[in-house]
Amino acid sequence: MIIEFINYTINGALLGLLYSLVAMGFVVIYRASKVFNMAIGEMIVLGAFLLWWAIQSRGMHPALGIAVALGISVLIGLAIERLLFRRLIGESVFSMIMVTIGLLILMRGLVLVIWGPQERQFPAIFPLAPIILGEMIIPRSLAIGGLIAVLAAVALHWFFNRSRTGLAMSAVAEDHQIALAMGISVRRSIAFAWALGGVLSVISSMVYLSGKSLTFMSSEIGFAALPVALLAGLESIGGLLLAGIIVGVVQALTAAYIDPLIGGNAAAVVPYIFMLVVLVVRPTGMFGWKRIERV
Amino acid sequence: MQRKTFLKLTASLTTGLLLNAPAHAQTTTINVAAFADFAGPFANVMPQMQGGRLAVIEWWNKEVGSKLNVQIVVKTFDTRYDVAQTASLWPGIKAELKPALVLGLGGPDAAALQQRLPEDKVPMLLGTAAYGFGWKPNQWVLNLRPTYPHEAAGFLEWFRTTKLEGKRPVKVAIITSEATPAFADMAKGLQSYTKANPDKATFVEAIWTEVQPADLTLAVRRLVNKGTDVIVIQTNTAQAVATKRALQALGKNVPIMLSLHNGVVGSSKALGDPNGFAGDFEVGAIADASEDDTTARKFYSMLQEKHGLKSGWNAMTIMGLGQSIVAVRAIEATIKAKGVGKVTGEAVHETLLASQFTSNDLMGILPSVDFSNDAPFPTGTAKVNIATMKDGKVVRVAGDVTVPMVPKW
Amino acid sequence: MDPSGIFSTSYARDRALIRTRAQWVTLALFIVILLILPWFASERLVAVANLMLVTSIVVVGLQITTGYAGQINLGQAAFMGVGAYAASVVEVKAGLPFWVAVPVAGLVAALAGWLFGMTAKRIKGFYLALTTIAAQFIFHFVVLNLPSSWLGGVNGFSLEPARLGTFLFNTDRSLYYLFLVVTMVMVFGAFGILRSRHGRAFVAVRDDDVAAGMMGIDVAGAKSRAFVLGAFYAGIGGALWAYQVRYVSVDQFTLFNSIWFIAMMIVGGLGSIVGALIGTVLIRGVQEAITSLGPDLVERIPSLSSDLIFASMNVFLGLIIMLFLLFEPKGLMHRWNILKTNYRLWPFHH
Repeated sequence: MIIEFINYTINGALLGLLYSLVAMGFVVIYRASKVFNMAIGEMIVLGAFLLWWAIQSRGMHPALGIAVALGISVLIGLAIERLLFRRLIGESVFSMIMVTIGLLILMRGLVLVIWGPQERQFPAIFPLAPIILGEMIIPRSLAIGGLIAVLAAVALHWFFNRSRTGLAMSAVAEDHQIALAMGISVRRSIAFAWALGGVLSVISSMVYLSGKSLTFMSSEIGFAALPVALLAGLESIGGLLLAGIIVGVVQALTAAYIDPLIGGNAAAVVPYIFMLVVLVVRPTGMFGWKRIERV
Repeated sequence: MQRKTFLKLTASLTTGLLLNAPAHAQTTTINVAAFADFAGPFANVMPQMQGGRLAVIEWWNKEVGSKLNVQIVVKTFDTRYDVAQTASLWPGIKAELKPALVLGLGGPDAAALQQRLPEDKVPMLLGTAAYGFGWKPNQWVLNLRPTYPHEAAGFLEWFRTTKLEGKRPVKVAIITSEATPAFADMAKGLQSYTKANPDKATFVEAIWTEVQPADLTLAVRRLVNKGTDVIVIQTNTAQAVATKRALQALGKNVPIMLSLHNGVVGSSKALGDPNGFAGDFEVGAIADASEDDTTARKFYSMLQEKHGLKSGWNAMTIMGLGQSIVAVRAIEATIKAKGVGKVTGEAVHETLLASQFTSNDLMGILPSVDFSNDAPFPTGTAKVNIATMKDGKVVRVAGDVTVPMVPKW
Repeated sequence: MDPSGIFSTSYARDRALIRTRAQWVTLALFIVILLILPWFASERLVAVANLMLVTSIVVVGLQITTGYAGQINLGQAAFMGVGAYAASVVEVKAGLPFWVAVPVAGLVAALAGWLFGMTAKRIKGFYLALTTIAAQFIFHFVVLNLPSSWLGGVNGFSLEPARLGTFLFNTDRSLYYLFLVVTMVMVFGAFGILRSRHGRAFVAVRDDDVAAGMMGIDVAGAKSRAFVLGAFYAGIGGALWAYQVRYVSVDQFTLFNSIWFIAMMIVGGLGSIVGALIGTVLIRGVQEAITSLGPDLVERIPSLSSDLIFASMNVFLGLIIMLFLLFEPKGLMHRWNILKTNYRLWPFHH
């Protein structure tokens, strides 16, 4: 019983770290360009399809396939910046959100048009055999994914908070106009943000779908990861790890113990309820910047 | 002179046209509306279903219709598997096309038109299995197959009597999702069956997960630890693949029961192993997709050779075939009963309720079909076909297995 | 903005919605055309018009909450669903007629709106958007998991047609008139609310809520009111939807529906009721046009398979929305206003 509980907790934490990885794509874009990317789910699906195309359809070796997919997603991120967000520098938060919503609809349509709605096999990038510790079973892809999430979070945290370029980008997240006034290239910052977001999306899709199947419906994970971003507070990258673990564990324990009792899928709703409760107490999330509003 | 020639020419032309006209006017057209989904969740299987539908209509027009001087014309509409789209399309279809029958697609069509069709007096035939929320009396939306829980119950009873030798109740678990009421309905129906038949089946647990699950290893382990005999997955391929991966990780081999739209072939393809789902089952109350030389297969081959059927021999095509064969037989019976000019929606509905179509009439695609007023699917005569996968091919395991009673839930 | 030469000589005149005779005439003509539409339009157009009317009520509500008061609301479809279910419960369980069910549905949805509006007092901007997304998922979960006898659970609700005495609203034409009347009332109500002090408070809160608070506006109350109103409209729209489709089920009110509502609002123009109406008509119109043209296109150009054409619709609509946001972020109404001003000031530019 105890072993089972620990197993559920560990797997839940690893799933939560997957959510943090997805949320990292979101937070990075925000941190460097002040854009809320509602289309994060679609970007993950796009990244997954690029991987599928490279490895399954073109038969490339997985390492090469990953590199190609990463490269293309960087290009797509740059294209998005060039075509869309360059014009929106300085516009309100609202417009940005709306543009990403439009991007969501557009990307979904593009994926359907280019690749069609069939279910496809997603390559097993990570070995399929699980990690077995005594009586506990831990899926290998989630475990490796968790490691990747931690490393990425540490690297990005260092980048945004300690390196010069990273700090300059944080200025963009505060206010585009002021950043411009201080000589920071907002354009480059946004381009970098979207490129990095694309890279993280490809990596997230690798962890999420390794060995399983892929359709355009896989974008649902984007919305599932948003509570993690909010719980951490939108500007905090390190906080994502903690928030992810909390959400993942809560969700896994609910699915294991409460769902069988009530005969419904409470596990899907619980992250949102948890997020709501925390937001009411701390409106900017656990580690988000407290903005001082000036009139 | 010229004027006279002109008049003569006109006169001869008109008489000629008039004499010819009656010959064209003799063929009556009967309109049938078909709903399709080309941009939503069923878009990938639509071409096959559509191929099946149209081929049967073609065949009937040539073989039967030409003798009765009747042609069935099918017009297809894209409803995107969306209730609002269907609701907005329907009035136009009804007014302009005046169909005698509708070939529906699935849940949203049924939801949108369930209340309207009894007033508009046009019946709709669905090739997918029914859902619990359609189980009401006096329906004009008719399913050719019983509900998903019915089909599962048929399989479970067969499994109990053959694999367990009838010694104990089957322990069954289901993996589904709350993403749509249709999926959630599958679990509720299954529970209704197990509650009513505790000596035949025990309900272990319902695992609720996403439409694209991230990882099911621990959930499946819970099922295995409780001694589950069968895992039912009637939702989609993604869940089937995730469960299979979980079973592989656990090193256990619990048979999975799939439905036809997420059958063994489709799921194996998504898994990446052409024989991935060997030993698992697909169940449906319609002809199975095995290579056995059944009447249905012969019919399909004939359609392929003579009527341009390009779709493969698989569950979706078979559903299209099944829909249309019942449709054309119903229209045929209505013509015989009421005459060519009186084939209205109301008349077709009456025929559907009154007649019983034998399996032979339906070219072996469906068991005999007999609609009554208390349910939208054939209640007494439902039988399921069970198939499994061996060496990458669909192989029939049992045919015409009786479906037990499932209380309404 | 009035054309030059027209001055208001009293406060009432200045506040009035319709100021010149030309505006009266245009409005009257417009209403007449709407009234006689079913006579010269095909049945399908009437059905499409019904859907547009119902959707426009919901989008007008969204415009009040998001366009005027600046509170991002991605859960409008959930409020619509609450209204639809409330109307079904009143009609089916309590047996009350539709002219009780519809207002009750609006009030119940308004209550739900109030609950979420309370979070809006502390939570701002994007965090608020996510709270409303949470509303969507919570609505979905609650309806599916409450016992079937309460809210229909998995089975949904089936309704009888709306009944007024012995008259049944079961044809598209009769529904059209019912919806038209309700929409006109709601839109007129929206105009009225927005030119009152509440409307001005909304705009102040949208522009800068800290400054608005300093000027003595009850910011928390205004935000709450914005949500309540928006949800009320959504509830009424939902109730009408229930009477139109006559089968209510949770998957008719998903997050994607909310996203489409926002898209309609963007295309029409934020901060304008007429914009909300135009956006709804335009987007729904394009969707219907593609659905109608699709089969013909497939026949005429067989090389384009049907799944390509219909999937392209998403791409097409997404493109429209994005193009609007990039080149005309204030929507069609802004373009229209510029056109109008240019026309009035011609040959001067501005």
